[in-house]
Amino acid sequence: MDANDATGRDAATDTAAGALTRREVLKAGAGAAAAVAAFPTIIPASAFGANERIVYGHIGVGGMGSSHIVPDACAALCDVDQNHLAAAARRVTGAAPLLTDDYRRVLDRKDIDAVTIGTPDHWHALMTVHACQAGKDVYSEKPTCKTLAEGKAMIEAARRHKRVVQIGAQGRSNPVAAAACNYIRNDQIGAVKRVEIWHPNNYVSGSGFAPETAPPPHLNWDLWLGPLAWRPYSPEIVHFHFRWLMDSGGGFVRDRGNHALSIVLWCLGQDGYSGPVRVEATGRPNPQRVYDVPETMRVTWTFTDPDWTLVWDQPGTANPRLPGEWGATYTGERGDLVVLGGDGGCDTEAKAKAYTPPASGFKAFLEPDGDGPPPDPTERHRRNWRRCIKTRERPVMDVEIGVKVIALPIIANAAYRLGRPLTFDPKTWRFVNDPEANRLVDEPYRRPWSLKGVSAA
Amino acid sequence: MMPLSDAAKAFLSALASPDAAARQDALQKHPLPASETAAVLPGLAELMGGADRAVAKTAREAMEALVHRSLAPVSGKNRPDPAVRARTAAALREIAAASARPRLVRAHALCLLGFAGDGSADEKALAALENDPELGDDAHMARQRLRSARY
Repeated sequence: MDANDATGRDAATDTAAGALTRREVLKAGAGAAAAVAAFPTIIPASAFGANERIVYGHIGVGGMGSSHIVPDACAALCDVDQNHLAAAARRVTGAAPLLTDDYRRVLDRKDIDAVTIGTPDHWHALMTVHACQAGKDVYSEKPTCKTLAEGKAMIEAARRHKRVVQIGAQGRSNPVAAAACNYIRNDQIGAVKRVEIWHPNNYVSGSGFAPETAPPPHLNWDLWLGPLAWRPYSPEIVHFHFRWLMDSGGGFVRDRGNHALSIVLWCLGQDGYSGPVRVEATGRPNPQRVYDVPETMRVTWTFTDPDWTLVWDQPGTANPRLPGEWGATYTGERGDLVVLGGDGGCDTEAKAKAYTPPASGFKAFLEPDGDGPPPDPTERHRRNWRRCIKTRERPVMDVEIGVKVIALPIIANAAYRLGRPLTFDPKTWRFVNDPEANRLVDEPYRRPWSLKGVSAA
Repeated sequence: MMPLSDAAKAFLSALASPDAAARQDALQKHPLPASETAAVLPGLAELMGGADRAVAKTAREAMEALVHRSLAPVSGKNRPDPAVRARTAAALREIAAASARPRLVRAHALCLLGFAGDGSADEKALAALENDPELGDDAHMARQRLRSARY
């Protein structure tokens, strides 16, 4: 492995405007390089002045989506669950917002500049693409998307419509994760050959099937499903537990994996990985519950150019040096480092927290604290997005990085579903020598949903 | 109906067991060669349509696992065995077309036909169901998948 590639030492800084280093971009292959060349880092300025107010629409306002509400600048709230909608509306302090269960009505509003998307995973790509088409900037929760084709469409929509699209993987705005990143990318443990992630099992234990019933009156089940194949309503799926179905969630490897793998690629300077990636995935589903993701799961990604290995072990074993619910051990040629978590919560060893990068070394970008006490990582991440809306820079977790990260769990789930190892070529966005696997590059949508546009839906 | 080998009969019997561990073991061990997938699919569809939801779930997973296994590239080639693929697709077409079977079983067969299908018979079967009030969307989605990559 080329140590400079792995540690990213050719990049002096990791800027908000261009988290991909020049070398990474050049190595990312013809398609990606062409895309970057065609769409410069600085997007042409919009009509925003520095002090001008951004007007928001919030789509999906239960769970994490509720944390993104801007009470005094919110023109629309959207949720398919009327209970979520009512709770969110009570928090609005400005003029009464539009309340709707159909996100297309939010996108129709010309007074809305930006939307946050906090829906279940199967909506993220559709809503992001449609929002970009409608001229809105977007903050979309993780995971970025559920298929490779969706990811490609998201990047294309963001670039074509010159939109600022931030993915809610806020570990990239976490100062502790940044410290770990600085430590590794400034070569303190040497070239990293192996990263092992440990993570708790998917929450699918126990037994019993709830009866399938009519959906409750406060829930628009058809809109909850949206592009998914129709299935009967089940309280076992809505709301949090949609994560345990391949169709709507993909399990922890795609859910928390978006956070964990984001930190790994950041720390290794590998957002632009472009060599073929071999992936092998095994696991055991629980035969006594409705969920189809495996309860336990082990995934091994083998990267080339440079060569390194990444392991997702569910449950795995915590590193005794710094135990925690989930984390990763980075093994380099001259040492190792443990990093816990990677979303809003993160910890690492004292040696990395105490490390100061040399003036000429790599320094991970963090959105400045601003006035007042330092914001928590999620708020710092949102501030980065808001500032980028005004400056038209690319945010720290730009959609292109978000897609490169989520491609890893997507191909892992493909290998698990097909029951065989696969090789993914990031340059072509296709699997190598396996036509059936290439039928998983895209997931068909239920009619009338389409990535082509709102009008087609 | 294709004849079942002893191994296929034992596999179906294990998947019908009320013992979840026995079902899971049979599924994980995959005792059947890919060439027997088509023969065993109707029996699995029967189990999937049964009243025991735990058995039905394992049968559904078995259908999926066996179909994907039958579509794995053959050693040295970049595509599945064409005869095995064609037989798998034909069995799935029959299950999808059987109106006496439960909707979810037929929909699952259609979904899997999106992976196994490749020829005009598969396209025609899916096109014929695209306007079906119950299965139209499933047929449409399967057709989209079938067209996304060719064998």
